[in-house]
Amino acid sequence: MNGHLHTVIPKKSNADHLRIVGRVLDSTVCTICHDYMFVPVMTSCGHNYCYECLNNWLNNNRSNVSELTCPQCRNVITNEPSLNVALQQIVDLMLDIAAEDPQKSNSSEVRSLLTQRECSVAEYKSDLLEETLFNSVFKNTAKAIIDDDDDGIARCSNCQWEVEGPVCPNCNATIRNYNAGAQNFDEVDVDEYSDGELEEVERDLDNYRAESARTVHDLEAEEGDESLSSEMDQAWPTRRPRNFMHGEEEEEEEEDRGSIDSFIVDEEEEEEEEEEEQELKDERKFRRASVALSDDDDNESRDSDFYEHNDDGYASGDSLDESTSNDELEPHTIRLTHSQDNNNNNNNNSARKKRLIVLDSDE
Amino acid sequence: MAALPKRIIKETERLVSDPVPGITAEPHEDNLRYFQVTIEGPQQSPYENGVFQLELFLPDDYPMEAPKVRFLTKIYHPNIDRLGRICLDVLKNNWSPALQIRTVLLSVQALLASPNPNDPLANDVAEEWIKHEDTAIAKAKEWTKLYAKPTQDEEPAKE
Ligand SMILES: [Zn+2]
Ligand SMILES: [Zn+2]
Ligand SMILES: [Zn+2]
Repeated sequence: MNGHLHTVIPKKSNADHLRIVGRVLDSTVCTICHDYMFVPVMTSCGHNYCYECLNNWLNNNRSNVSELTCPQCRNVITNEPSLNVALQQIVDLMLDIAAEDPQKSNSSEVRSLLTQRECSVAEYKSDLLEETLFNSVFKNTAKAIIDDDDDGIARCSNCQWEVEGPVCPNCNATIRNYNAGAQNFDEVDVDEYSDGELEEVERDLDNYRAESARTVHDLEAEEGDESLSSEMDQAWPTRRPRNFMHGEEEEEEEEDRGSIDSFIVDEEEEEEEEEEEQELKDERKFRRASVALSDDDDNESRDSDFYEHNDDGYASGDSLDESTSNDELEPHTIRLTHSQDNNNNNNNNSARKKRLIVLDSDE
Repeated sequence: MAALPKRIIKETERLVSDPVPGITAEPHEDNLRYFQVTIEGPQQSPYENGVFQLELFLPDDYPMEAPKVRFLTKIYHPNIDRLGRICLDVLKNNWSPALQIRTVLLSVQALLASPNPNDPLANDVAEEWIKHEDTAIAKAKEWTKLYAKPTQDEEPAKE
């Protein structure tokens, strides 16, 4: 790799080199902790933070609002931020070079940075291994179910615990139908759907898809046919959301994928698939019900006396910004389907990722 | 008391070494999370030539949680109540950990330059501001002269 810049930049003056180094070093500093990002993660809007810092913010942030936002640009973060490997390599290089300097006058500083890096990397790796990155805030979701027979108490669809805010205090799931503006839940008909089934179905589907991918790969290996996986790749991203969102198109769609799926799954999985199709149908029924939920505007009159008097004499809690931030929110029904879409995408992505890992490891 | 996070130390150092024009912030010797702040009234605002005393406190969860800021000097402003509490979005729901003490104080200064009576904290002031803007501005100027004197020591706002 030797582009034009590789030729020009080394010949520049010392001052230019210092400017570059300064700029690069600045870009390795986290805007949350003002320290070096040894495990930089990047949001979909392109901003980088330490894994630990962003994790703290997202999990702190969501106890107040249901939408997770980027600290620098306030964009809503819907997808799990990923490790910025290029940036990490730069930070690593800087610290490695600092550490190998023989006449280091600030060796205690360097040593503390080395320890810091070790801890940060260890924490990230352990969360990655346990599949609890970002406290599972991008994975672990549930719905609040309000049952009129149960005094209208809102309960988490995952664990039945009573929920009040955007997060279940028991299982830590993000409550998808929590409405930030109105501080309440979009109603879900308890007869249509009443417990953690949806999550289970989604998990099963993911597992199943990962399994099928492996089967495709095995088949390829046996028959030397690589077109299969590329076909799968094309079919993958659109398949699930379409099935979920447009029940009507289902028949046609089914035939299409039949040609691939029946080819790759073994009998056992086929049985499973049938079960899942039934579950899918149930779920579709539920989704339609929830999408059709009230369109009424939740920007109802908000308490005009918007601040509470704390003992310490500071203003606290809701204030004028509630109305401003609320204006930026989409109508909640749209948001509801939106987040489910994202869920599907996330699941697709993670399933695809798993597949890619499977394919990679065998190469 | 828990150890002071690196970020707070760095912010404090920079506030001293590279102060924001028209703003001072000094940590209290006994509590490095507590700052004594002064903000000069912006030019061409009713608060021009006034120097306002404030207090700023960094809660344990800072920067995950916003600093707490309050005017100590009495001020006539539709978004600041008589206890000195400030109605400012970045101090509440719009807080972001990418903001800092200096950016927060700049926002407070900007609020002095552009009062927003449509989002009031002090309802009577806001009403006056909307109905008789001239009178309200005159009163704000008068209070500035009266209470926000540049050389004076801390003036408690409590009545
Ligand atoms: Zn950080
Ligand atoms: Zn961003
Ligand atoms: Zn739960």
